Amino acid sequence: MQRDSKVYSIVFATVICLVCGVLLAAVNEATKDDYKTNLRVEKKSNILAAVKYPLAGKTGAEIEKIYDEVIAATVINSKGEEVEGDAFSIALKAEKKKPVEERSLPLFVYANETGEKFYILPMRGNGLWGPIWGYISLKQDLNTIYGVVFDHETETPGLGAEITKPWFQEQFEGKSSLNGEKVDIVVLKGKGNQLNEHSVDGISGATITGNGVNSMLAEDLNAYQNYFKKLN
Amino acid sequence: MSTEVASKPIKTSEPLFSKKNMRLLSDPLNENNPITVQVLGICSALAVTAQVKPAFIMALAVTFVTAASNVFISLLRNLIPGNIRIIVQLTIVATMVILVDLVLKAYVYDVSKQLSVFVGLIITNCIIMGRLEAFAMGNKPWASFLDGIGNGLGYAAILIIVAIMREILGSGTLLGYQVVPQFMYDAGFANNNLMVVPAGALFAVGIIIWVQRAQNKYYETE
Repeated sequence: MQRDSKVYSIVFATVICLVCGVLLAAVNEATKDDYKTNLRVEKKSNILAAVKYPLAGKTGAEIEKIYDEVIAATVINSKGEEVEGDAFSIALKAEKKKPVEERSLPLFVYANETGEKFYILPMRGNGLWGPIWGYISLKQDLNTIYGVVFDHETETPGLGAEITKPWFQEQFEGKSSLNGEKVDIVVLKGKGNQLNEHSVDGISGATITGNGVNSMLAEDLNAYQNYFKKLN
Repeated sequence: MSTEVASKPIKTSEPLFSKKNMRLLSDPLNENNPITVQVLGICSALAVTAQVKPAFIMALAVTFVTAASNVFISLLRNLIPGNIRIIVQLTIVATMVILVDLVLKAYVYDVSKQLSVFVGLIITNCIIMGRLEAFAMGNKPWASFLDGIGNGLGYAAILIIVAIMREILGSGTLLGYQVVPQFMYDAGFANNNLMVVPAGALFAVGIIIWVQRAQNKYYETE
């Protein structure tokens, strides 16, 4: 067959695609389990990091063990009732497409050595380029913020991606998430603002990511308030 | 681009590590460095060099992809139809890149997270396509393999030098460990924020190009 003929080109392209496709599928199968383990460990470390559990230098297996020992989980709905389900495996991405009333809301509870309880709420929203998510932990009064963790998929390094940095996350610690009955915790625009107990400084040049964090906080904290009223 | 220089065909009956073959490995390290002389692959050199660890992994990944795709293209060079050769090259490079991505995700997850989009962007690294077109399409697999490794290492060398400069000056650390001692800070040393942002890499690469060209007496000619 001629190397320049159309038929040859098509046959050649097909063969190359088949070979590459089969190769990739095989490697994907082989590495799938390890990847899933990594994702699971990452989620558990994030939940533990929201209550500032020290994890530096811990291996994946150790993190999973600690998680199983110290974290309890329930699933609730926005009316404040406990519902069936496995909190850890709930995919927020899918839940957030449903109306609030139909969502299953995972709630993680951490108790420290002195028996003090911390409530960890997962959150998910949109930044500038793609999804952002995180965990926020509240003290036993269900109002004071104990710690937050944020992460993102494609925010700009140095701008929106700063939400993952300690300086940004540490600002939330000790702030009040409620103003009366209403959720009120906001990231302001840029730095150097007059702050009160419901606001933190934003990231200069990343206002849209900051707004994304705001609506994520407001929406996801709100959904738990009925349950929290029953607890109090 | 000046990549055509190295693309003379190599004769068949040579020993594996002949002088000529070794030059394929050593030339890109200095005289024909892909970043500083050929000026390819600059974008990733700016993007991933704020710290040494991701720079090192990126360099490894690019070296692997360049060498492996050079070999495959060289093996297929007499079969690839000329009219679809760029697409075939892309398919093979993309396959290699996804392989690297899958392996990173499974075995060094934190690094894969740090590199995030840059792994996918290996495919757009001009060094790879440049070497495929300029070298692998016209040379035997072994020579192409050496050429790929050589260019990968040349890229790696610059990436790591830049990353070392940036991490020490920008964060005072090396591979995450504090290397600038406290008394330096007491004496007035401050972490340079310019080195943390990509613009800092531009200065670092510029200085390297300057030093290297001054040493090699290399001058741009009209």
